[in-house]
Amino acid sequence: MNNLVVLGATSAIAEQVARLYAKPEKHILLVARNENTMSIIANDLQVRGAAKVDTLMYDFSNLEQVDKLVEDIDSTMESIDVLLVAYGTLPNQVECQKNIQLTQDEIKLNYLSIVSVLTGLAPKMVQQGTGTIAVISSVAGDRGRKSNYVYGSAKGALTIFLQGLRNALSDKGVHVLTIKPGFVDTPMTSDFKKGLLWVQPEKIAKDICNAIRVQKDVIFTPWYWRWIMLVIKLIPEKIFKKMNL
Amino acid sequence: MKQDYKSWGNLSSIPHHPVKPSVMFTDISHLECKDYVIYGNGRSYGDVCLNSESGLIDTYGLDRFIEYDEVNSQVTCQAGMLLKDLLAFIVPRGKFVNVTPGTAYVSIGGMIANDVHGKNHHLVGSFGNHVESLQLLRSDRGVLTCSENENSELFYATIGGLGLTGMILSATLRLKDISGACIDTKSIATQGLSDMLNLFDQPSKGYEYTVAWLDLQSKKINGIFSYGKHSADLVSCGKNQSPKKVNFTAPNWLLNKYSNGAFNKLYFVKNKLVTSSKQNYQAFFHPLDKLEDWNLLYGRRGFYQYQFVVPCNSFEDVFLTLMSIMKRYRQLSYLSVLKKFGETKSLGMMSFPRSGYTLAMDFPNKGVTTLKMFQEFDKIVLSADGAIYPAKDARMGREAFEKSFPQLGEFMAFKDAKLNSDFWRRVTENKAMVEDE
Repeated sequence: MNNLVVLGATSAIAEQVARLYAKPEKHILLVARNENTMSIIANDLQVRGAAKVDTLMYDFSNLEQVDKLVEDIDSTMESIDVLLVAYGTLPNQVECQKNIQLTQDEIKLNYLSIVSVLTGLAPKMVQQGTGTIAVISSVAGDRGRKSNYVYGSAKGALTIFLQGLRNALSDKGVHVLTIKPGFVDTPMTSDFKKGLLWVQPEKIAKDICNAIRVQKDVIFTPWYWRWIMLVIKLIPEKIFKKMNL
Repeated sequence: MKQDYKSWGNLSSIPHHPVKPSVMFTDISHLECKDYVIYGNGRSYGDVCLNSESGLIDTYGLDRFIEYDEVNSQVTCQAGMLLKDLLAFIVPRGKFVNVTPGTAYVSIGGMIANDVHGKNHHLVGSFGNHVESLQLLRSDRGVLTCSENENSELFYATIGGLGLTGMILSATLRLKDISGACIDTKSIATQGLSDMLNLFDQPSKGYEYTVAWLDLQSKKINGIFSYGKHSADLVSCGKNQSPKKVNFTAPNWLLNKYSNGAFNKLYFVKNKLVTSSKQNYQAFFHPLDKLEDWNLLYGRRGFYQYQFVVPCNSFEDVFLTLMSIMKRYRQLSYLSVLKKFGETKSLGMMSFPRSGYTLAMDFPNKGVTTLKMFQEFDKIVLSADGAIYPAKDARMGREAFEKSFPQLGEFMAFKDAKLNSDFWRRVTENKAMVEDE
């Protein structure tokens, strides 16, 4: 597993995963929108010991040039051992309810864009007949709640897309990992009040690397979210609709 | 948005308006709050890292390496990087920092801003003596490179400058070569203070690190004097253990003179029996890091550390006087560590380390009586030309601060108007914690 491609490389979780990969022999390709930020991260990974770190600037809200992105990745990376998809935004639900454009943009980035990119890159992985596609979804996609159902619905749809993709690629030698983090203390969630259930991105990154190594299909990270979500999913809709979650 | 921040002493949990830069940061002049404190990892004990109800810049996210120069033994990294992460990177490459404090959970910026010291001060000075250069972000002048050759006055103000001269963005540190991760240690059990002080005066025969642990509750003042040196053998000496967590705030009564007395006796006997060993560097330098949040053992009340330095010739008198004050107040230190500072002059205008003996003592917070006891300590320490350590302090008044740091007047000119702290307000605005009687 020497070639890592990170889409959304400036995300806190993605960066921590990349640090775990930053060892001799490893070739890492970072893809993100902000070039300055990405170059600081790339330099850090290089110092930490990665054999080679490349960067590619791309704005994932741009759905018109996914073909070009796929070509660029293809020409930089001969083969992909791990493709980590980590980009996304956490919109303000209340703002989304007042703004059709914002809601569309959020669904576009958090679902449509990822689906497009995966559709573009899957044939390369199939052709290799090996490798892992690891995608960060969310526990928010397991049940719609009034506090974040625009984000939740995009992640829920993404989770279902990944189920199908895993099914389609399972006999092609390509492993598909769905990652469902709970509350993670990152810049994306900097405005939230942090409580007992919050963890640092380092912890999520370790779980992701382990799951890639042992080829798990779906992980909740940290592990207890599996049980929290189980309980949340079991609540009858009649009661759930009146709850404040 | 408000968020509560604490320091290591756990004396209070206060809302701040945090700013959390995630990869880089280039301007502090535009920030909304009137003033900001730079918060590294909150391991200073008192309030140098707090700025109640006002702004705070949390450097947690600024932890990238910038350059590693193996040939010249230098590393450049962002100031929010923790020492433990730096060591995890350099130790396998055969390098070590010239100075390490007693915990690795400190940020590089915090180590510079408090000009921390280690167990080898008598040979190499303090942390600031090994900083090649640093990048400083000021609200009035933007980003500046500071070193002994460039903006040197600002460099000297920033080392030990309590984060008030600008925000340290990154630093280049000089490293030293080591053979492996092990430390050869030996220890000698002592009784009585003079035995202990004699050991500090004897040359340590290749052992560059020395520190003494004291049991102030024992009748004869039991002590363990420890020596350490980087081992030349490449044998393994135990894996780095992942730290355990307390995870809850202990009840106030858990640490009392009986439980602590029993612990001290055990520690003394154990070290009396094992007189030499090979330890992992973490076990030797950062023993308390094994229990990541040990400060919670003091309970909700929190605790104070009182650390001072006095010239060698007056230490014994000062020590005995402080002991009698402690006895009068019925408050004996739970954990006491003695080190000797050498002649190497610290670079910082406001650096705490200076030639003499330095004693650090932990006390549970017992409210006004603890504070009154410290005020009596201050008088004794300051009349012996001593100084009190801001990184450990949560209560000294203006007079004590001014006497401890004679270059304060010179330092004032370098303070950044946009930066402030609870500590700074206290020691410059003369807000004493307890009125003198």
